Amino acid sequence: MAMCYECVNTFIDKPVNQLVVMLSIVIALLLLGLFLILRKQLRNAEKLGLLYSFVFFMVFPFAYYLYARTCQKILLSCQMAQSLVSSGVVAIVVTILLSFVVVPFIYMLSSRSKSITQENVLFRKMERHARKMGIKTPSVYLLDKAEPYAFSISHIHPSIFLTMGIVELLKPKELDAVLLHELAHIQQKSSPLKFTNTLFRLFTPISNFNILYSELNEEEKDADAVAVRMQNTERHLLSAKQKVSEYQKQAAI
Amino acid sequence: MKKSPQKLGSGLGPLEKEILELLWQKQQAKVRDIYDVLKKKRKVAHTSIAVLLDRLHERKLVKRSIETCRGGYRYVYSPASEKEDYQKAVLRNSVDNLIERFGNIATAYFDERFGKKR
Repeated sequence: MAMCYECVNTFIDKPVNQLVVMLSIVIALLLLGLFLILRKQLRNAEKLGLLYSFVFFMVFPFAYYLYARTCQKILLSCQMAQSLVSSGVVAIVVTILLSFVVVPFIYMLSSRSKSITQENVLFRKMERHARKMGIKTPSVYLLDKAEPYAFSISHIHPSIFLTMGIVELLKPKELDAVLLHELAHIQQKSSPLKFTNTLFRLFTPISNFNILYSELNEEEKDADAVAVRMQNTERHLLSAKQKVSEYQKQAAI
Repeated sequence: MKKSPQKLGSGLGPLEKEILELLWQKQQAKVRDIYDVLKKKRKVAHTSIAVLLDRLHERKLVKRSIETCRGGYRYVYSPASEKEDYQKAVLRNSVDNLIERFGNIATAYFDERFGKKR
């Protein structure tokens, strides 16, 4: 412990190190400030870029400290800590990238999912709606689960996933409302934002400030608004939500 | 080879039993079919039937398959075993439970009650 304390002091004593750390923290706070001020005007990709840059500059001082030459020269234990942390950081980054890319394919290739083909009425509905919205028709998958829900993935291979439960539970126009809602998410490219929110909640205290909560809420409202606008009524969407909520209440008993 | 039902039928609620009875009668049915029959006898929600069928499926008391239909897709449920097999399994489990709980007292009772005539 005393040796680590000495290592930290030696690190901080150097003006170059002080400058790097302070500059990194200032840049991080500037980026966070930019995000908070400009969030309404920015697109999702720009918001994510600012957030990930903020995280990078917050983490950079610690990485810089661990790789500092002074520490390496003085203490073997610091070197060991460096190996542990660097391999840990690499593992986390690889896991994040892989899950961002791999998770959609896991759903698609799961034995409990079935690709809905072009002959099916559901796919043809999806195609009509996508054409009206001016987006490429995503793939549609049916999940063999009785619980009614739907979600979409907008990156890598845009797809909509519907459970058997929701297909069975809802009337045609209610299901249309759900499809339109999910298509809107694909149009907005929402899934990187949701994925980032999940990561932040897992790895950082940023989630305590609900930094992405209002963005995600806005996305949901915007997607609802698209469904209501395309159907010229909110009746079907509300009815769909009520039925799903009713199922969840029954399932919880 | 006939599949024997998993854990028992013990612990089934009255509505679950009614649903199973219906499936034994019809051999296969969709959620809507069961709902249409049961709503004539009692106040029941479509979602309740869907939830209970899913629970029966998790307990491996019913099987289900996906069928393409006019609106898209539907689950078709069927009983996982014949009624007699199910009843035998319930009985077997009940007796095993009694023996586990009461040990020699239970076995002595069964001997006395059902013992072979000498």
